[in-house]
Amino acid sequence: MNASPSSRRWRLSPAQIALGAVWSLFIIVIEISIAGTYLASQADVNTFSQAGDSVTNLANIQRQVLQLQVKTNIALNNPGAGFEDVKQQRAILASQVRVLLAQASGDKDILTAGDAISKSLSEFDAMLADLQRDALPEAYAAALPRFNDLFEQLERDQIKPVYDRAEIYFFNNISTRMQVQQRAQIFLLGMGLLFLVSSIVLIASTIRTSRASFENARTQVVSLEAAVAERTRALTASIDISRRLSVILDQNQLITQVVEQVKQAFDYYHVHIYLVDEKTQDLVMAGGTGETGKALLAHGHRIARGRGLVGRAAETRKTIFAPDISKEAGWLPNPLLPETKSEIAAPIIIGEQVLGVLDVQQNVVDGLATEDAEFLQSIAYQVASAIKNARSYTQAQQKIAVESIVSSIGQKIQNTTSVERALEVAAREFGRITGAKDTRVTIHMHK
Amino acid sequence: MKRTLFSVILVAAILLVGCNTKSAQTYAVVSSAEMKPGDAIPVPSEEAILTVSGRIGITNVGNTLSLDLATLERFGLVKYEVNDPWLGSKNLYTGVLMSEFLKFIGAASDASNIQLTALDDYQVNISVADIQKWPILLALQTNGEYMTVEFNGPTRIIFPFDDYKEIDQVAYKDLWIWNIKAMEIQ
Repeated sequence: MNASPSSRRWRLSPAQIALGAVWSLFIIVIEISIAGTYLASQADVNTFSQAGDSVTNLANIQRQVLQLQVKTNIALNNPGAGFEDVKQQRAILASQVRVLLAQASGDKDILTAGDAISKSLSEFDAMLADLQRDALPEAYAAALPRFNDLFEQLERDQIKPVYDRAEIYFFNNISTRMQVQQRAQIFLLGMGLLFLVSSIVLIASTIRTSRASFENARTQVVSLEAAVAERTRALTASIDISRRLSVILDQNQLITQVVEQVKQAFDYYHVHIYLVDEKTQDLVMAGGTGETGKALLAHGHRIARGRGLVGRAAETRKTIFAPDISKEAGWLPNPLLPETKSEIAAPIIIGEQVLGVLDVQQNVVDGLATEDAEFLQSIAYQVASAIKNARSYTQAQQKIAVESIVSSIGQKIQNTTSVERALEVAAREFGRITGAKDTRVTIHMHK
Repeated sequence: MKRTLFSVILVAAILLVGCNTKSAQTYAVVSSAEMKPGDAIPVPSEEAILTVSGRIGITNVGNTLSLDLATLERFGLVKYEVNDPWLGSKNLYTGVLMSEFLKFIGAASDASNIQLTALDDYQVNISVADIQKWPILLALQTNGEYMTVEFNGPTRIIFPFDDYKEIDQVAYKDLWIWNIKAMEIQ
């Protein structure tokens, strides 16, 4: 019999808890990263949109200025055509400049360019007003170069530099933002991979834990089933041994039966029984299993009371249990039992009287368990009772035999007719019973 | 059972009223329409500021509908304040709801798109679905003043950005066309 394994609880290991914490941290970092990237992308969208609007506005203004120049040229080259288209184009340009200045958001370059355009338009208005006031169509053609100079100067010195700068900023902005976005994407990709790997590790670890827990539970169930089976076998063996002991009235036969049945029941390495020598109080071996048992018996093996596990069991009247004999102080080795690794000595007691010791040995460290000690003590109690019964029976048989002989002699004596004959019969019968070679009856006559 | 049914109807009614309240609060009526959808529109007596063509049921100059400021105002005016993404300020715009405008010009019931052209020939397209969904305005006035060309007039399109946050303000910003001279219903 072996002790049942200690039960284990299903719980996460520190490594798994740490992994879970790291995993949670990953999630938090990823969430923060995503939120940060989103906010950054919102800011990027605004910046990008603003830069794009500036470029668009400046491009529109360039186009409107060119349109104004074209329409002014047409009007001046065709004096009869009037200036309505020119004025409308001038208004369209002014509305675009108004939007440009509203969108500048403090951009000094754009504000400066907007102011310059407004001044140029004022100058344009003045020049146009002069022409209209003078109403000299022949002067229109002469004025044309001045108008064209005004437009070209405006385009070259004010609009184009700002436009170029805005365009460069816009595309640089795109490039920078794209790089930032790319870095953010790579970061998120890396975090995502780490998240994936950590998730897989955590899931695998959880599965392993679950499987181990399941295996533990299964092992525990199997162990419990085995323990129950062992217990059942012990009880069965105990009942069987008890039943057999109750019908054996010969002490030697009784002891032989006990040691053999106990050994067979649990496949012990060796079993033997010692009985107390009433004269010396030593423990004399009365029976043992196998050839070793016979050899020890023939050798008259005995142990002094108090020595070794057997002696201590008799002395203390308690079962001595040594799961590992190498750690047991006072253990006595026996050369005929070299493989002994664990041992139990159960006293055979009836009332206050120690009759002997039931000694069991196993050839494996921890090969004997508490359950074995309990089982053997229960057997020892039954052996004690059986030995007492056997001894009582023997004593009764001897008494009956003596009384029978006495009765037989008495009867023969009564059948004699003389004193001499009676004495002769008495001497002969007594000699026959005692086995004496020469038996005499001597009568001393006192004076 | 009756109480439960009543509660459900009450909640539904509150939700429906809530939905309607949003658009009702976006604009205020300035003047009711002086004509009905389907009424004939005469040739403008004043300077035409807008020409409408395409799939329309009402015309007055050939296959087109020419409109002056006075005629547009007869369609009924509404007003609302909104942050103008182009001018960078909150302004009060007054004009004709585009959804009403389509009714008065007899736009085809299955028309899906309007192409708008500015004085500088800049063009944008606005879907009829958007017009039915949001109170998009054909503005005639800014802060109570009629708009000259220099001030983005005589008409311009206004989107209710402030009250309808679902409108993509980046994508729709370019649809705030001004100096409108023509529309084609498609």
